[in-house]
Amino acid sequence: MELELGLSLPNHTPIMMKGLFDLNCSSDNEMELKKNKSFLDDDDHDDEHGNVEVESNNSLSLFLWSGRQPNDEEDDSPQENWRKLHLNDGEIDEENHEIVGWPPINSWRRELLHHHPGGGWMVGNHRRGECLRTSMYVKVKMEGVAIGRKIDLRLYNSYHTLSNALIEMFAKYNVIGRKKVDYTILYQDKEGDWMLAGDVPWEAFIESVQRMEILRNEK
Amino acid sequence: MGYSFPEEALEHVLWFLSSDKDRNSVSLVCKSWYEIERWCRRRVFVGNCYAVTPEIVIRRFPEVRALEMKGKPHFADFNLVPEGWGAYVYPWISAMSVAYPWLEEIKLKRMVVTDESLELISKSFKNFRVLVLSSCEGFTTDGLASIAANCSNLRELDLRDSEVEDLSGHWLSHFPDNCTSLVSLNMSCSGSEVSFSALERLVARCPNLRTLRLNRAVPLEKLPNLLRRAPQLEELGTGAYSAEIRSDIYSNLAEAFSFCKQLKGLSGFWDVVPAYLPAMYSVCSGLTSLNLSYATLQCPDLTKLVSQCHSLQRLWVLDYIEDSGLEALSASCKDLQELRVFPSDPFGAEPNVFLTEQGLVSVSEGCPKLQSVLYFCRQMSNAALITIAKNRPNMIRFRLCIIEPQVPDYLTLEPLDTGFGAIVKSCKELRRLSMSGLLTDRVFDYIGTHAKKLEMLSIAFAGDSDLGLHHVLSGCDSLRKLEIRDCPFGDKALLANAAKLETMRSLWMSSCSVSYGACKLLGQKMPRLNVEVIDERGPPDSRPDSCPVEKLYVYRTVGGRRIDMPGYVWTMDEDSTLEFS
Repeated sequence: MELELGLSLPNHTPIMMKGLFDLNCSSDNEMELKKNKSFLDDDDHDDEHGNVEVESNNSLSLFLWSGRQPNDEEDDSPQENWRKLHLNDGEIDEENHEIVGWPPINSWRRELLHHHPGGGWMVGNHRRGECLRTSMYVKVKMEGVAIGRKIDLRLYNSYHTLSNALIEMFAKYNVIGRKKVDYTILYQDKEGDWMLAGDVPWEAFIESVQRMEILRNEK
Repeated sequence: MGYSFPEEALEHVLWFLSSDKDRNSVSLVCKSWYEIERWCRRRVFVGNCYAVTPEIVIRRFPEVRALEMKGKPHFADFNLVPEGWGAYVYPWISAMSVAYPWLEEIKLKRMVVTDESLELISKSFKNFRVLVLSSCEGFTTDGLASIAANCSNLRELDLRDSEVEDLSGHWLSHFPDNCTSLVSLNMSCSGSEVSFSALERLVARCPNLRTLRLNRAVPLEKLPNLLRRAPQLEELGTGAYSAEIRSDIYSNLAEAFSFCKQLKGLSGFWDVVPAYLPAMYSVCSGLTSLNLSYATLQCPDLTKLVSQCHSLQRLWVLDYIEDSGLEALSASCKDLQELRVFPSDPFGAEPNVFLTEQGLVSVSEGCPKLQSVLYFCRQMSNAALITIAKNRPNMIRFRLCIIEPQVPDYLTLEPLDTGFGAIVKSCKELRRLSMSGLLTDRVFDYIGTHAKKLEMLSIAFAGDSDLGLHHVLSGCDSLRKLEIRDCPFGDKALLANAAKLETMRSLWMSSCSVSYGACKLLGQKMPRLNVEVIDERGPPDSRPDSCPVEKLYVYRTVGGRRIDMPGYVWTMDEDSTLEFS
């Protein structure tokens, strides 16, 4: 079933593919589109640049490719409008300064990881007497190591488990040959003071810790 | 001289055809084959519930026993489809309750299912066996209670990823004492605590139970009670995997696991306490599927665990596994086919784990059967993508999400065009692709040229101009679903490729630059497409025709325009007036 050719819009004359485009977006407008079936196979159209190739899907095309580049002309071309709209705002969730729906994770994961309390399945947790804490990521730096780490303190319930985890995490930074290394773990508290980890009860530590640093004392 | 093939013989032959594609081909041979086929088709798959109406399906296929259907567009998973958009299943249930009294199976994805629908299902189909509600919503535990109470032959009740309003945990207790037919129960998404003794008795009296996925409220200490009553289990989803550290709980759990010799798949693991992990080590070597994507385990524990799962074919995990864990995975799990790595801190500004492109490269090197990837990370390079493409030409699904939009190759600062280009060029059987990072129109040229088997493409924050969209629509011969957000694609490419849209299931475009005028034109000229404009700013008529619409959803249909649209959805059709200013 062949559909009619070319829909002419009033006030618009169908503009033929004048030439070829350059994928590198140079100003020369030279580009080759794949030719499938020539949409308009009459001989009248402009052939001055050689190949006039218009992609068609063997039937109706509602708008003939004009070959104009974005930003060629008026400021309010669709692409220009898009750029104005999207470079500054986009669809930003005001509260969270996040783009709506990005990164693309579904609502189950988002609730679990974004630490928003609520939602049917998290309410069940209250039964177990745990309180839902919000994210407890703190930065941890090891002396002499350029890249710090961030850990979620909610995953640990004692200094013991925390220090084991930290040591494993930074184990790769042990220089070969130095087997016996002692670590001192310091943390910066709410007041900005650096304290030795382990002095106060775990709960007080969790309330107060802002970031941590690990010092190496080689024997 | 007509010797015609006896109908009964043909029917017998058709019995062996399960593929829809094959049955569709059969029905095109001649009128009598069409008639014979339609009377013996038992399973119908409707990929878009609005592509057809219940009446049309029922009229053509009068003896259906199983319906599988999908509703909302995929981007609904990410909150891009506003509430109340549609995909209500009730009209289907209502029509089928009259037409298909022998219906056995209903499988739905991304649809709105009310308690009314569930109750109607439970009362209308005497031989009802299978209910799968995947990413559905709109029902409460009361609806589940109807299903439990009335479907005496129920085999499967699977609520994966659905949202159920928890009014009461008692719904489970509505399974009658003489219900012994359960094969699969997935209640992992429900929040409420069910009566444990009712659950225990249910599990004990269903000897064919193969799949049991518990919800978070089921405590770890009680898990052994269930495992002991169902040692034939093949798939288990634990509840919360945490308890006080007590040796009796531990040994009880370890012993119970050791009885489950058939376990192939594990999931759940909410609130994991690492001390309890070794209790499940006895099943590791037989596991083919492991979903740790809700388990906040750190790298050492994860590495130790996966390194023991030598038969693993599918792994879903958080990025706590890090590059080193993935390297261990690639060394230990040579049968791995599918890997999904989810972000543990997707909204954080900085990386919190050592997971880079290198992890994925390692797995692509070490796992020869790897064909399906979903990977969230914060940096990528063309070199890495080229290596992955070279290692794994057998890739079928490749979804890469670099968390920050429009991030270039971190080594060269160039766009990732060549990297993704290598993927589509090398992976000739690629069916699904999602891209991210900095991408220009060039990548779409590569895709249009090479991705000839590509069926689903997801694009975000990519491209420079309409040329990008044009490459895809004109080049991808197998394209069925295209979903685009925040790309500078507009009217020209869409209108120039209007006919292509009739060969696809659907097109989604949000935050692009498609004008209202173009939508009207498309709707007016393509009567077999539903062109739906979603715009929460009010009627598009109140703005100039050149104004871009917020969201556009175009799909082919034989059902005409739908009548259940909310106030912010407008269908563009023949009645739309065209105004050119």
